[in-house]
Amino acid sequence: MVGSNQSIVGYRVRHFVVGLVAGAIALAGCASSATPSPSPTASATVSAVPSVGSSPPSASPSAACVIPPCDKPIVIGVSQALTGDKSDPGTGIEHGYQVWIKEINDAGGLLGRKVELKEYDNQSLADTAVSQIERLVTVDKVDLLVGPFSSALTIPTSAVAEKYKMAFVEGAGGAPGVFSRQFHYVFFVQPAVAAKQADPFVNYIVSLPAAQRPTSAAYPQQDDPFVSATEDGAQATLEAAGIKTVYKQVYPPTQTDFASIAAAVKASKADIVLGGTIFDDAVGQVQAYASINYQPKAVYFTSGPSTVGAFKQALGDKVNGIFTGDGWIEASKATGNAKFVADYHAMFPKEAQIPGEAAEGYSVGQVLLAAVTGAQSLDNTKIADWLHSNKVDTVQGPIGWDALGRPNGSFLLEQYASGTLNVVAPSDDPNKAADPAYPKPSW
Amino acid sequence: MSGELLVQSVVLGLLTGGVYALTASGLTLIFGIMRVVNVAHAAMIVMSAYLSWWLFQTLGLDPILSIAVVVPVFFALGALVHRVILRRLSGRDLTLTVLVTFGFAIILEGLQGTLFSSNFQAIKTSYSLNSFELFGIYVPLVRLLSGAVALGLLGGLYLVLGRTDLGRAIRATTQDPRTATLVGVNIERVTMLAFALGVSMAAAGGPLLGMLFAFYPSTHWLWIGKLLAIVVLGGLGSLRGTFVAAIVLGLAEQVMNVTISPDWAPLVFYGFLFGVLIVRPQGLFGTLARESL
Repeated sequence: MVGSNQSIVGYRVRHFVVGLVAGAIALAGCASSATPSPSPTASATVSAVPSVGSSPPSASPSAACVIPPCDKPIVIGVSQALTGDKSDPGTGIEHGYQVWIKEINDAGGLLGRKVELKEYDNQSLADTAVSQIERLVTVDKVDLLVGPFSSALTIPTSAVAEKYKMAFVEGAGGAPGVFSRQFHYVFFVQPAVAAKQADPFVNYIVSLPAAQRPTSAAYPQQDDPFVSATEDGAQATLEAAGIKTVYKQVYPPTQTDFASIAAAVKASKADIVLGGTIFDDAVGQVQAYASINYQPKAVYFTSGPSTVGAFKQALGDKVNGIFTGDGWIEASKATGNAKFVADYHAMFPKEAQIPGEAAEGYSVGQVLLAAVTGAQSLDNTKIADWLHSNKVDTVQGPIGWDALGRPNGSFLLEQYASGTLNVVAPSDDPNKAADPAYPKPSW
Repeated sequence: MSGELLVQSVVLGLLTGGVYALTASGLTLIFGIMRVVNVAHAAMIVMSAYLSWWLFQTLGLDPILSIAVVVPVFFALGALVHRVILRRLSGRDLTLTVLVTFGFAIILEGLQGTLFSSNFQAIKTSYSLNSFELFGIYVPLVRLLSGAVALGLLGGLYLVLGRTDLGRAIRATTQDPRTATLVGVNIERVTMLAFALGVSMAAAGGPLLGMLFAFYPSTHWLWIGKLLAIVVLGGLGSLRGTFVAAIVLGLAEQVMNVTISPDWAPLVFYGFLFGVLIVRPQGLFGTLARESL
C-alpha cells in the first residue's frame, strides 16, 4: 500500500511543506475578504429638497457638447464582481450599467458626449477591487466612478475614491461601514441604508396578532458588513417585541456546506428564520432546510431572492413564501421603469426576469446623469455638491442623500408566490400586489 | 446542544470527510510519485463537476453515473498533460511545477468561465433534497450517496495500488525511482499512468462535490487550499494519511458548525495542522528519508 512506510519526504521536500502550508491557508482564506463592520452610526435627517429629477434618459437634454474634448467619450470606471462568490449579483449590476449606457448613447450622450464603461473584474476580492480603482483613477484617468457589489467591496474602494475626490455613486453598499468614515463623495443609490432593509418584514411580524406571532427566531448569517447591519437591526427590534433569539451564528463567506447549520437551526425550533445572506448561501440554506424537512413559519433573506432568475433557477418552487427586502420590482410603477424593463429585455433576451441588482445599477446611471447634467460639469466636487442638495427620480423611486451619502427612504417587503416576487408591504405602496402569506407554504 | 445534534454532525463530518479524501487522494498520489504539487487539481475537480452538470442538463445523465464518463475523459486528459507539459519538468525545482500547474489552473478557470459563465451552479437531481431519519438524526440522501461512492472508489484505488502490477510499479517508483528502473519498471510510462490516475480521482470527486456544494469557476481556489492542507496533514504521498486528515477536516467543520461557530472550523483544523507539524513535520503518516544521492 502507499502507506506510512512508503512515503518518502526528502529534506528538500520537508522545507517545501512549510511554504505549502502557508499557501494552503492563504488560498483557503482568499475568498474571505469581508471587511469588519464598524458600529452603526445614527441616521442624519435629510432636508426636504425639491425633486429635480433625472427623467428617463431618452427624454434627457442631450445638448451639444459643452465640456471638451468633444470628440472623446466620457469614461466611467468600475471594478465589478464579475466572477467569484458575488458574481451573480455583481453581473446584475453590471447589466444595469450597460442598459443605461446604451440608452444614454442612443439619446445623444451625456452633455453631448458618448459614454463608455471602463470595467475590471475584481473576482469578488476587496484587495483586487482597491487596486483596480486606484488604476482607474491614476492610470486610466476615468471621468467618473461607479460602485461594485457589495458593501464588503464598497467600503474599501470608496476610500480610494474619497482620497482622489471622485464622486462614488454606488448601488449596493449600504452597510454602516460605508458611511461611518463620514465621506463626502460616496452616494448610496437605494431607498434606505442596510440597517433598515429588514424593517418592513420586522414591522409586519410584530404587527401580527399575538396568537399568530412567532415566539422565536434564528439568525444564521454570513460574515459580511451589509448582512450584519441588516440582521442586527432586525434582531434588536424583534427581541424588543418579545421574539426570542434561539439561534445566531456567523459563517465565513466561503461557507458552502449548510447541512449541519440547518440541523442546528432546526434543533433550535425557531419559528422564523432571518437568513443573513448574499446569494449562494441563501440557496444553500433553503436546500439544507428542505432536505431535513425543517418548516419555519417565515423565512427572510437579506439578499439573494431579488436576483430573481438565478434564484428561481436554483430553487424552483422552493422559492414560494420566501421574503426579502428590496427597493424595486420588475412591475414597478416608478417613473421610467417601463422603458428600463423594455430595454433590458431587448438587450438581454435570454434572461426571463430582471435581477433587482440591475435596477440598482441602472439607478446609479440615472443619478449620474442627473448630477452631471445638474452640475453642468465633470468636476467631481461639483457633482458631489449637487447630489448633496438634490433628489433624483430613479426606477427605485425618488432618492435623496444626507451629508454622509445615506438615502432616507424605506424598502419594500417582497415575497414569492407562485414563482413571482411581489411587493406585499407597506400597504400604501402603489406597487403592492398581494398580502403577505404567513405561515409560509411548506418547502 | 442536544446529543442528537452532535451525533448528526459527526455522521455528516464522516461522510463529507470521505468525499474530501477522494478528491485529495489524487493530489497525494501525484506528489508521491512525481514530486509535483498539482495546484490545478481542484480546478480539474471543478471542471469535472461542470462536465457532470452539463451531462445532467443536456442528457439527463445522473451525476453519480456520470463518474463513469468523466473518469476516462480526465484519465486521457491527465495522460496528455503529463506527456505535453509535466514530463519536461521531471527532476526540476518543485517551485517550477507549482508555477506551471498554477498557470494550468488559471487556464481551466478561464475556460470554465467562457463555457459555463461565472454564475454559480449546482447539480440538482430529483433526489437532491431527500433525506431519511434514523433515531432523530437526519442524513441528506445525497450526502450518504456521495460518502458511500467516495469510499467505494477509494477502496478501488487502494486495491489497484496494492494488488495490480501497475500499483506495484507505482509504489516502487514512489519509493526509489532508480531501483525501480533497475528492476524493469518503465518510469516514464508509470508516472504518466499515475498522474492520469490521480487526475481521474479528481474527476471522480467532481460530480460528488457538484451535488453537495455550489460551484463556479473560481471555487477551485477555495478547494485547493483545503486539499493541500489535507495532504500536508496526512503526510505528503501517503494515501492512508490523506484519508485520516480528510476525515479530521470533515469532522472539524461539521462539529464546529453546531458547537462553537462555523467561523471556528478553519481555525480548529489549521490549529490542529500546525500542532501536528510541530511534533511531526512529516505529517501524520509521512516518513522522513534522505533524498537519493
